[in-house]
Amino acid sequence: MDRFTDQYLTEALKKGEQAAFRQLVETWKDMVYNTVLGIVQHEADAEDVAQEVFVQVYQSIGSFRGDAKLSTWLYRIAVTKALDHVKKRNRKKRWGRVYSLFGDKDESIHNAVPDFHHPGVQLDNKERAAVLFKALDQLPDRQKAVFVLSKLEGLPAKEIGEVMDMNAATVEGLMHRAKTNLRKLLEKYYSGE
Amino acid sequence: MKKEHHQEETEAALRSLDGAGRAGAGEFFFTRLQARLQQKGSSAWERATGWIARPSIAIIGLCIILLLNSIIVIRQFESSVSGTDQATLQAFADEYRLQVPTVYDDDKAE
Repeated sequence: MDRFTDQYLTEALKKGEQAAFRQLVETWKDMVYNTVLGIVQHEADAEDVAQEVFVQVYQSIGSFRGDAKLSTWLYRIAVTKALDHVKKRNRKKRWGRVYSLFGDKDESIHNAVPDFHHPGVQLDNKERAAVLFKALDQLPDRQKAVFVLSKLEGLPAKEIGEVMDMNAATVEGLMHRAKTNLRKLLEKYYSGE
Repeated sequence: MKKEHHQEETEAALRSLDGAGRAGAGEFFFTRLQARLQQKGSSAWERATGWIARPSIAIIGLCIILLLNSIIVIRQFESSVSGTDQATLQAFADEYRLQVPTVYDDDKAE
């Protein structure tokens, strides 16, 4: 979608046109969902967060100045919301562990994280990808976001930089660190430590 | 040999997302989104009552009200106690003429 369409769509959205909002959702729902899914690693949660992204777009389109592309803005909201969701979930897990200390056994069952299988990964890579996602979940937020945007969405460093408000060199640095950390975690996993 | 195998597995896992397709949001995403927007678009009054009814907000509000009430009650009690004491003592002293007479009182009498 080019700048002209972006501008036309933004103006229509600001006027509250439902057709424009529908077009926006239909155009970018998969992009938003795929990004969120890569970070959240849970299909139902990803759908929920993706909806939240579009709710925020609907409510705050008035504040969108058009400096960046609409897709960049959407990616930014998606990444922020997905990372927030993971933080909340981890907080809940920690509390769950505290509760389980007091004998509430159900909590430990809910905390057992199942393997995540991304629907877009080829069948012969499913198991390896599940291990990679488990390792990815342990990375710091920014490294995780950069890795997902690069690997799952195929964004170049420059565009990731626009999404995350940093320059391309910083993005490349984060990507390098993400790969190094993932390599360490995976080696540890495969050596059975 | 084993180490090499682990390294190969690691590199293969790192490459496992290469060429992965995009996951789709599923059918009727927009319909579900619209339902959610309608839910969110409830009146300001409903949102306000919903916010107040949240346990954390309700408990904090209740604590603040109780605290303010306690402060007011304590202050009123303190002022009434000190006020009553002064008034009672004065009345008692007047009633029984407990003032200590001084030489000046004698002068006044003359």
